Amino acid sequence: MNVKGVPLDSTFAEAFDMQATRLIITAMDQYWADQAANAFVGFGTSVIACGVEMGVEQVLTPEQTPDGRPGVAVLAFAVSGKELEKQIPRRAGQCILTCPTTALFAGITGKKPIPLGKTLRFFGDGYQISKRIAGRRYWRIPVMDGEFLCEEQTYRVPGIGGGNLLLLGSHVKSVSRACRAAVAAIAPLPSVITPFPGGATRSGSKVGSKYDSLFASTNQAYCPTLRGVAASVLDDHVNAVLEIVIDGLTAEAISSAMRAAIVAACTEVNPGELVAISAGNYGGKLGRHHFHLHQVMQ
Amino acid sequence: MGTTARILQPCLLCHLTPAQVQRLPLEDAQRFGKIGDWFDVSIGPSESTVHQLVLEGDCSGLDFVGHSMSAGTLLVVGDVGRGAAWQMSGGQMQVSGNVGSHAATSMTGGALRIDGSAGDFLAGPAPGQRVGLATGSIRIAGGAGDFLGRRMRSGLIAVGGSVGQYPGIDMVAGTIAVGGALPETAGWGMKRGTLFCGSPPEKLAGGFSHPRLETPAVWPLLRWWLRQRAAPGSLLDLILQTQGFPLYRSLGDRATWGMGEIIWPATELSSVFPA
Repeated sequence: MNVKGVPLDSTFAEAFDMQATRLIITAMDQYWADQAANAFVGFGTSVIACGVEMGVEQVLTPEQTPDGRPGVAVLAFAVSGKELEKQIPRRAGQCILTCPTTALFAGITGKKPIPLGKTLRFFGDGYQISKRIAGRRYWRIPVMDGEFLCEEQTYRVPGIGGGNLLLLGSHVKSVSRACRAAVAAIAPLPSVITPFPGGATRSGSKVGSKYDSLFASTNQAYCPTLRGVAASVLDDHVNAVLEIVIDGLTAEAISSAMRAAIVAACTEVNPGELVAISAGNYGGKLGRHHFHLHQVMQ
Repeated sequence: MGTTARILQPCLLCHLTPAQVQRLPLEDAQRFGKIGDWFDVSIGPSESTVHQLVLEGDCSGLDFVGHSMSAGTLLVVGDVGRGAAWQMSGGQMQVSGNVGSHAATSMTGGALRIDGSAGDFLAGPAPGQRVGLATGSIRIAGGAGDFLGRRMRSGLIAVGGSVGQYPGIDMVAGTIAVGGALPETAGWGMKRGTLFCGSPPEKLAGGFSHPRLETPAVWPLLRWWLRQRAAPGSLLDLILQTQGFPLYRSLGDRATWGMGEIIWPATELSSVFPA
């Protein structure tokens, strides 16, 4: 199968069950909301070492937020609910509570709670006040610019992490262009994030390592500089590979994102600059969600 | 003293035939007889799965209507006596007229709507108990008497008009919103919670901090919620419809180490909306 002259490998992206949550950050203006969100999702690229994968899902207008101020919706994914419960309050305490004029709200409903204000309220040192509004509890924590308003808890729901695309090109510049176009096409879509810097990673990994302490290491089969030294899946025309990792709340959301990304990447560059589009998997043995590229495009 | 009518609850009566309902004795049967001595009972059109009981006529002599009500809808077309919705825990009760004193005593859930005014001790604690309104919402189109929301712990009371003395006294938490002004006795001994008034208080009790011009971060959410619960067309409703007014805020009652708040619009809005 070709998309605008770019071959689409007959393979699939292998993705995993994860636990996910959505948070809404608001602030006096979009600047502070963005600052808080960027700090909050920072160092949230991969569960391999960050504990959680995070990204900005959508920028929200005042009409879309609970308190009528500009805001940002953030999605977070972790391998377990326990890890999510550990990461979210810590990050919220250091990145959102600290950011001027912000407030924090749950962006999703469910049955399994993740503490927000329930934990952060203790920063108020006894001066915190709770307020129950329309069945939801909020904490008002006094801070130096007024009050930090924080919902008591958000919720976690099942999510999917590890949807991915591999863009194989003749030159890193063209792959970079295609990659940025693909990530830009994903950005407006709901329920998905691309957690890596700029939505892309150059360090696609395999499971395991020659070093016992590592459980992930460079995927030498996709490293152009190792052709002839290690087993490679790259042909002679490929000199750069970038990966776009997509986490989503549903399989449909990830499929839609992959489709939009493929079309955008193939449209952005001239035929030949993008040698192929592929996807990463582990033989289908580790993750139960398989996104076949050809099926995604149908 | 009125007739005790605890039995007038939708879920207790809706499984019975009109004849069975008529034969049911009121609390003090020897003095007051049976329901049939007071009411004509009939079954109305059933359009909803929710149990609904409608009382038509002057019920101002009936006390404890809706006592311990936990589900269904109770409509009173007219006035009702004392202790309405006493220990109500769920469902909806609507009174098109006025209610007597001690309504919603120790209420723990549900919604009470009063299209007229309420008497004293609305949403306070039952004798011997420490907690007044614990959960639930109360909407009053008119005014309310003294000791409104005494020792309330959670929930919302939205009073369209004015209130008597001691609103929010010993309040533990929750929200009271009043369309008119608050007396100096407002919030005495309050620990937590919010008192909103549409007009500046006459004077604040000594245990409250000097008012500062500061709009709490929670106000947009609170205003949105209050607008949903305020009686349409009431002074409170008209004030809440006004966009973007700054607020004064005072904390107290520090006499009891409380961290409650009294907030009101910095601009005189009530003069714009005559009561």
